[in-house]
Amino acid sequence: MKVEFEVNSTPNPLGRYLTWSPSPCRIRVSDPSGISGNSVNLKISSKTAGATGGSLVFRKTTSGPFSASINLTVPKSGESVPFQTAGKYPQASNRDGDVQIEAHNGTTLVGSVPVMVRIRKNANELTAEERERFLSAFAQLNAKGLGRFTDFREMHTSASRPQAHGAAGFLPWHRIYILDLERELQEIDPSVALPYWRFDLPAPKLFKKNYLGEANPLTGAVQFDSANPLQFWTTDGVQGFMRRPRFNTNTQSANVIDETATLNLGNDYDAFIDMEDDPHGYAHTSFMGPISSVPTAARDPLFFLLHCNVDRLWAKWQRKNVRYDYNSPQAYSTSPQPINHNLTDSLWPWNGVTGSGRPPTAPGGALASSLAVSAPGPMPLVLNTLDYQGNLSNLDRFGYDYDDVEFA
Amino acid sequence: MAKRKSAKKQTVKKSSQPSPAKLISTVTNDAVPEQERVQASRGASAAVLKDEAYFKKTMEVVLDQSQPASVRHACLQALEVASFQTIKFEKYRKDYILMMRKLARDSDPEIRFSALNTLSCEKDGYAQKRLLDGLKTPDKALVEPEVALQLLGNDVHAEVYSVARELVKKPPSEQVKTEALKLLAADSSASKIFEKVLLDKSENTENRQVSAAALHSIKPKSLYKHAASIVKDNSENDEIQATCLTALGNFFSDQDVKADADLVKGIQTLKKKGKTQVKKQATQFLKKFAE
Repeated sequence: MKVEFEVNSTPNPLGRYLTWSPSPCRIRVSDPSGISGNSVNLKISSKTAGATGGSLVFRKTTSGPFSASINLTVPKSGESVPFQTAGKYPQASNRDGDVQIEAHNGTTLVGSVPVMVRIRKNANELTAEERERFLSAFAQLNAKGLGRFTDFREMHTSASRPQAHGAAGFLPWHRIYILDLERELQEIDPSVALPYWRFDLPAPKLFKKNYLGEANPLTGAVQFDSANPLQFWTTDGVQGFMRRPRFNTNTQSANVIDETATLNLGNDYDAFIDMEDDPHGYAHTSFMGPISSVPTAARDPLFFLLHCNVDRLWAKWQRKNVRYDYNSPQAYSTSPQPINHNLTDSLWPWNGVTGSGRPPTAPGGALASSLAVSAPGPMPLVLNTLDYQGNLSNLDRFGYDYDDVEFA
Repeated sequence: MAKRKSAKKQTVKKSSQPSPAKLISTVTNDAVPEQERVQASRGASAAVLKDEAYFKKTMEVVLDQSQPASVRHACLQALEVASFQTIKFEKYRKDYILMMRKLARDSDPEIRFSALNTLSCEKDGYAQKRLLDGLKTPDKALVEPEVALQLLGNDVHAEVYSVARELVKKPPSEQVKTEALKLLAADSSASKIFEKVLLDKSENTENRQVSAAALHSIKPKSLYKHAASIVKDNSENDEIQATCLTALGNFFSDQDVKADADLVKGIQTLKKKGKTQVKKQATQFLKKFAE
């Protein structure tokens, strides 16, 4: 007897990426030989490769508690039976396929599928292998400053400043921006998740030549070691970049308010959005170089890890205050906003709209898709960005999670 | 979409902090201890957006060279942070840029650097001219030439290319040559310069690495050819071999690399005979492509 699995509503292996949010799965008998009767009882569980690695939980329906295993009755006919799985918080995978969903009939293994609990992690805590895969994918995406990366560069310039800054849509816009980039990284290496720079803590490993580079103390020119593919990083036709720190990157954090203070800015969105100033603005200006200014910040790869942490802080605040419902006046600003910042606005540039209050170009086209999830769709609205975990509707999950933000 | 109610006033919002008026008063008061003024400047980034008078007072502190350096630096950073609030800051942008232009000639080198950094990120023509003048006439330089070149990298154009080419030919230092080479990375007519530097074993390793990266941008087939040759050359230095392996392993098609039996053989030799770092890379390379 053999069984086969479908994860995230697709048989495609590129759909086998999980987060802390429940993912729909199905199991069916693919070879019924040896089955007596019309159905077979199977135990669904997970097996982690090695001492570290992802772990999973399961449930039979779309509500109720999860457990380490479930029992399903599966028809011999080949008709599939649904169930749900999710990463068991906080056990994220370290590499692709390091955890398997298994089906046992009694003690006999009758089918398995490797999956990954793919989670955004603290950049200072990645394993060497995770770091190398991330850097390789990032350098390939940069592609000499040409190709798809140019679009991410062009999305964050002088012309586009008002679309993404200084109003309520700051957080939603950047959530989609880094999601788009992450999905492009996953086109290159699906095991990669964008890590975050936790700027309120020292991150000595991050600012080294084998990672995001070490600044020459006199010039601020960022240097990489010869095995680091970021040594080829090019933007605007110039190789490399400057990043001169205003703090000791070996021993200190950036000069920002800490996470607790950030989460305590207020329990409604209009108060929390002050974080654009501190810690966000102070994180950017904790260096001199392109990252310190909106028109040039995207020249520095650190920019994307900085905004991953900004997004993580929003995610943490949302969980702390239960702010996923855009109908709630505390979850998003209720005051009138400039274009691209109102709940029902479609977000530039993914909406392809130019002129009439939008910049003259809309680089990049629609938001990159994912085989693991369908949300938020190619042209997201601001309101689509709040329920990124699918807390209100599982269909609205974006397919990413943070290592320290549990599914609500 | 359901109609959203207006937000009720929250009884617990931000942690208590002084009013904008109080913060700015503290920042601008010479009688207040320096550390206290620096601390108060954290609130200035939000305060300046509330009232133009606060913005002007903070600017005055930054421009006043008799003020303590730490207070000037903190206030300058507060204004840089405020500038991220695009929509509210827009009315101040012209004055902000004018302030930065004055600061570009400040006696404090950190402030000069910071101001020129901001101006170059904004593609300010005044700053670009001053930086170029400093490269052509060192007496006029506002920052070191290697820093000027990096700042000019925020908006490269024809005049910058011609100055960079001259500095590659006659560099006042190796660092200047390195930064000039980086600037030329998109200049396809500079490919011969990069090939020459890459293949010159007497050349500074960093310059050779920069040249490899530049060729990756403007003439990738040339990089492949030279990188393949370098990894097979036993007399080459480790670091440049490692850079070439990184390029070959990350940026060229699996098919092309696997089909190049000569290259694979060369890397197998490197795996046996190379030093630790390049041996490790050769091992990883072969694992990906040949084993």
